Amino acid sequence: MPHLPKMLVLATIKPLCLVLCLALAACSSLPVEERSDIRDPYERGNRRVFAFNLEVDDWLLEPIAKGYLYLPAFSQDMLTNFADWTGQPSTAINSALQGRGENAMLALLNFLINGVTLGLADLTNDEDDAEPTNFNDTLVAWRTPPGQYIVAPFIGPGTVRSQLGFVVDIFLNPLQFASGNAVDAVQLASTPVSIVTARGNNFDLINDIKYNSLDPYSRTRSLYFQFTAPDDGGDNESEISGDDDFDAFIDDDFGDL
Amino acid sequence: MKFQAMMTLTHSSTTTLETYSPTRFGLGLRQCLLRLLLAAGMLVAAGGFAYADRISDSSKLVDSLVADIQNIVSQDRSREEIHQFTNKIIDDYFDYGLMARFTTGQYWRAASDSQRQAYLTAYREILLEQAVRNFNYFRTIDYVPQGAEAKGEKWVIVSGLIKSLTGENPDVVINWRVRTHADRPPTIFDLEIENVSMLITQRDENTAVIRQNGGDFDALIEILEKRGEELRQGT
Repeated sequence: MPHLPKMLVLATIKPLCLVLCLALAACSSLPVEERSDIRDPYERGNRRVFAFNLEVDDWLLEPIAKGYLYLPAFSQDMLTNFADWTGQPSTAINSALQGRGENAMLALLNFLINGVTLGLADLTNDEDDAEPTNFNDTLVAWRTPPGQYIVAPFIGPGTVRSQLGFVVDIFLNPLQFASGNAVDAVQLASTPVSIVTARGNNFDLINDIKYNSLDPYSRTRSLYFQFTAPDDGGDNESEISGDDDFDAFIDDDFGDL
Repeated sequence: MKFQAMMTLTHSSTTTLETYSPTRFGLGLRQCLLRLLLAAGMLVAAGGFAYADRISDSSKLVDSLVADIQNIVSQDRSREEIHQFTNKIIDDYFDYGLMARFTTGQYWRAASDSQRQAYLTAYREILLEQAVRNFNYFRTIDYVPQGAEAKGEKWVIVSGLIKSLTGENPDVVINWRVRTHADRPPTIFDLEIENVSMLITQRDENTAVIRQNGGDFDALIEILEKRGEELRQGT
C-alpha cells in the first residue's frame, strides 16, 4: 500500500497538471500585433491565471507569509534552512546532469551533513554551499529553447521549459523513492514550507508588485524576463542587461530629439 | 604615458624612414605620411584621454549623487523638503526627458505635444512621490563604489554595492547607466539592481497598459495621474 504522503503528492500533482493542460488549452495564441509583449502569445489566458494566482495570494499566501514574518528570526532561519535542504537532492542530481560534479558533491554533502538536524540548522560553511539548480537549468545546459511565456495556476510565471522543469523536479526528487516516517514528514512539509518561506522572504518585493504597479501582470512578466535573461543564454560576458534596448533607443533618431 | 609612448614610437619610426629615404620627393612623401601618422597618433592619444575622462566623470557624477543623498538623509527633513530635494536631484543628475521618452517605447512618436507634456508631469510626480515614500530606506543602507566601465561610445556603467546597515539583507549590486555626451557633462539614465533595469521594467509596464487600452496614450496618463494621487494620499 502506498504511503500517505506519496498519495498526497500524486493527488496534488495530477490535478495541477490537469489544470495546467486545461489552462493551456483554453489559451488561444494572440496575433503578434495584439500582444503587449511579443514573447507572450497566450496573454489573454495568462492574465486570467495570473488573476487567479493573485486571489490565492490574497486569501492564503500573503496572510500566512505575514505570520511567518512575525516569527523570531531564528525560527525563520530554521524554516528557510529546511526549504534549502529539501532542495539539495534535486540540486545534486541536476548538477550531475549538467556535468558539474563539484556542485553535485557539495549538494550531496550538504544534504547528508545537515540531515542530522533534518535541515533545520545549517552546519556547513557558506562558502561550501552548492549553487542551487533545477531541471530548468539542466534543460538550459542542454540548449533547450525556453518556449512561450506561461503563467501556471499556483506555480506562477515561467516558460514552457521552466514549467516542465518544475514538474520534472518533483519526480526527480530521490525522496520520492525513500520511505519511513521521517521521510514522509519531510516530503509532506517540504513544498508548503518552501512556498511560505519564498513568499515571506520576498514579502516587500511581491507586495510592491501587487499594490504599487500600474499593471501587476506586465510588471511581473518584465521582471521574470530580466531576472532569467542571463540564464537563458543572454549576454554572458556582462551582468548588465538591456544593452541592445538602450543602444537601439539612442541610435534611433527620436532618442536624441 | 600612452601619449608619450605614441610620441616615442613615432619618433623612432621617423629616424628609420629618413635613414632609408633615397630621394627628395620620397623624403617629402614620407614626411607627409609621418605627419599624418603623428597627427593620427595624437588623435588616438587624445581619444584615450577623453575615454578615461568620461569614465572618471561618470564615476564622479554617481559619487556626487550618493554624497548629496547621504547628506540629506543624515538630517531630519519635512515631507516638503524631501520633495524639493528629490526634484532637484532629478534635474541635476538625471536625463529625465530622455528617460521619460524611453519608458513610453514606440508610443512617444505618435503622442501629441500635450500628451507628452502630461506624461512628463505625471511620471515625474510618481517618481517624486515614490522617492518621498521610500526615503527612510536610504537611512538603512550604505553605498560602496565598485568601479566603472565604458559600454560602447555612449554609455558608462558605474557599479556599486548597497550594504544593509542593519545586516538583515545581503549586499545588492547596483549599476548606474550613465549617458555620456561630447558637448556637456554626463547624465544618469537608468539604474539596474540585480540585473533588473528600472527603465525597462517601467517601459514594459507602460506599453502593456497602452496596448491593453487599444493604443490609447491618454489611458496611461490617466492611470499615472490616479496612481500619483494615491501616493500623495498615502494609500
